[in-house]
Amino acid sequence: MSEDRSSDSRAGGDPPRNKQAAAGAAKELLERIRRLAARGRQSAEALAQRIVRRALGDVPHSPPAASPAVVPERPSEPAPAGEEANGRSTPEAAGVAPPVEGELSPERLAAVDEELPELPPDYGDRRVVLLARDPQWLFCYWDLSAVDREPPAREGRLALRLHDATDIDLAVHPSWSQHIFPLDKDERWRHLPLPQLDRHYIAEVGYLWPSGAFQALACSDVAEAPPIGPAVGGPPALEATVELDAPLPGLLTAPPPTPPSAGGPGAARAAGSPGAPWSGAGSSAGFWGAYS
Amino acid sequence: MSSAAPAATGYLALVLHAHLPFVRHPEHDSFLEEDWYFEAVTETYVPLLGVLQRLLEDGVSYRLSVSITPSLMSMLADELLAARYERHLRRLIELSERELERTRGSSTQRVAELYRGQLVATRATWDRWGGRLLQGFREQLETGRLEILTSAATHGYLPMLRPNPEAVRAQIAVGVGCYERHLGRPPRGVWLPECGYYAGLDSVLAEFGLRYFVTDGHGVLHARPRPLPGSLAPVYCCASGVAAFARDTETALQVWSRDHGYPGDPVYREFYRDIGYDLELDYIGPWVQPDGARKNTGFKYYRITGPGEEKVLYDPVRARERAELHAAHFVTQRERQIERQAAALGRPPVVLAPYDAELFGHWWYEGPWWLEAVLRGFASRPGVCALTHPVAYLRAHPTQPVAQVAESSWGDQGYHSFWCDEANAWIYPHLHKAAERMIELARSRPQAVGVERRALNQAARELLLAQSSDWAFIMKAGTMVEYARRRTDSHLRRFTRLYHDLRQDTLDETWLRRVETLDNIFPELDYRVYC
Repeated sequence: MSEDRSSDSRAGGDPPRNKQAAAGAAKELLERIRRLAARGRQSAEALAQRIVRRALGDVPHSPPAASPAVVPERPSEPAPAGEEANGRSTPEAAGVAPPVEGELSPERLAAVDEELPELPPDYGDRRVVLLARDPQWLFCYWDLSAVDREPPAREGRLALRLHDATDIDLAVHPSWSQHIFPLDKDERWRHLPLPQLDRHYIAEVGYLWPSGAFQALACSDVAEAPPIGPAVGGPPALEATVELDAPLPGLLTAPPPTPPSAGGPGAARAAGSPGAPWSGAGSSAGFWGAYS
Repeated sequence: MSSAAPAATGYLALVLHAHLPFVRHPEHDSFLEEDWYFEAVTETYVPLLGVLQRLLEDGVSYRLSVSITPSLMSMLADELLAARYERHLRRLIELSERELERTRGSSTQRVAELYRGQLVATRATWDRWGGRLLQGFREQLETGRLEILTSAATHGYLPMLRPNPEAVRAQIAVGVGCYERHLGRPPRGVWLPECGYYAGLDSVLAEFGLRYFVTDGHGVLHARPRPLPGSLAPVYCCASGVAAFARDTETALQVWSRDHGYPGDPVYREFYRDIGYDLELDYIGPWVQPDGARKNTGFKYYRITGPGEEKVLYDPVRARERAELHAAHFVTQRERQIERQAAALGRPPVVLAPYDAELFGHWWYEGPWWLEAVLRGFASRPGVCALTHPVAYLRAHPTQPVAQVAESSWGDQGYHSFWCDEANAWIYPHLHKAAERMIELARSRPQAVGVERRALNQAARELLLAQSSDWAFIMKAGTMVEYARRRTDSHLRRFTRLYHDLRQDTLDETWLRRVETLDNIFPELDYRVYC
């Protein structure tokens, strides 16, 4: 809530000097090097540099100095998840060896992200995700490998194609309209203006050729933007009675024992319009579909 | 005790949304962002409990709904944060004593005395519950006067998580589990983070026994087909039967509006004049950051006064009188609103007025006084407008329109743009990929035990923490952006290491234990919520 002040100015302290802690750190370091080398996450040179820096105490992993006015009180060492603070173990922690002294020191905790690789720019999945952002804009991102980002021939270019797929299956019916957005090869997402309100869209990412041909690499699911205003025209919503203490009818997998108009505890029933078709209240399966 | 509301022409359901992201840093002795929590405890949660306790003792039959998010519940139950809060409170009391000395004989002495008295009362409330404030809320819940809603586990912004339905489901499942663990009963209502709703989300809520949620006004007003009662009656979602209550615009403006809302009154306390910034470091140094960087202390001596820089000294007596005046105005306005709408609706209207809980006390210092006066006011004259809980309204008025609630949020522009913008869009490919990987892990190892099980549970915790809507919000808002970026990045990288270690069978138990110690939210989480 002190929203305009940063925590980045915390001061560092001295590295641990305790011999036992140092020996533990060395052992841990060796294990980490072995693991990292095995995975090839860091070059041997980077590892060597880190070893030297650690040996010289140059790797910052100390807690900040406490305020002079702060009482040097240390709450009991926090319990790991899966272990109650009062020392009782939860089932997942059963059989876990107790931590070595100093293993959970603030210095060690502050260093957990050291050597973790950066997040990759792409996962190489060939994926397009299209989501509604508001009634007039869609959000689209795509994940491609570095190879995919380069068209196989110089004449081609990476592009996004937006289809109006309202109420149709694009596998059997051409889209109502198409819109092409040329992309920069380093681009990873874009906000797209809706060509038309209250329609359903699908996005493809692929290569656009000078002939106008589009070679798709990946295709999104359907996205539908929210309505921009109240419904105009058409009948108003029907009403129903839902008893609070009964299971929701939408979760029923079998038809209810009594027809909806007969009511009864737990049944959803039409109000004021016996025999009214449930489709008037919505066409989705589930809650009302169970009675249609 | 029954929570049924008295019969009236119409109803008001006040809902306070209490939420903070999970900010807990055992790796540092002192961490600025933990102050968010400490400030909220001192200025909002303890005063709120104080209001409810006084009403209870006075026999006032109030009705209030509060959503306490699972991340906040986890912080309220955390031993380390409790110990640190005690230290924080002790130091504030020390500062209040020094302030009494500093202001003795001056025109600000009365305000210093007020702060001193409030902090001592805070200490008493804290001690009364043994540092477990949730227990205080639970006792109010058990009286039937307070209704507590759950929320998504880490306040994940669900419309942006929907490419992985299992991730949305896990947010709800863990939120419900956390509620049951801390409050000993299942929740009936859920606060959707930022009121973010999309078609189909209600079916997930139904799966966990949740019967209602809150949406912004246009979520109901733009529903298909059109619900005739508008936003003053709930709507049953057509796919599930879960009820959606719409936020009332009129009440929202009266409290939220910067220009026309109550909190902007010139008599009220000015938030941005704090002695942490105003006084010399020689004096205030021990109460700001260790390196001397300034921060809020909560000691503020000026009133809003007007738009300029010149501020007049704060007068708490006048401010309290104004809060009570505003409360009486609010009560009268609701009665008029109810009378205006009831005849046309053909049913008792329900005005749903949700606010961020932290507005009351933290941002709007007089908010708890206002709230207490409002609750007393409605309780004393229930004939036209009675207080209710959403769940009590549904029980008393089970016949309501059925429609497809419109996708919406209560954020800027009313949709998702605040959480999906140039400043924060980069997080979504990573969040979605991590969710996909978590599902893969859970499905491929449904019977994991020992260290493998711990690693899977921790991977789930890291994913949930990365999904917190607060990080995207802060990135867009432009304040403390680096912290938000670091939290997102850090949780995703920890998750990714666990994912690879699990797949390659190279788990490092020592590292795992450290991450478990750092990110210890939801100790009883079961990774199979992602199956």
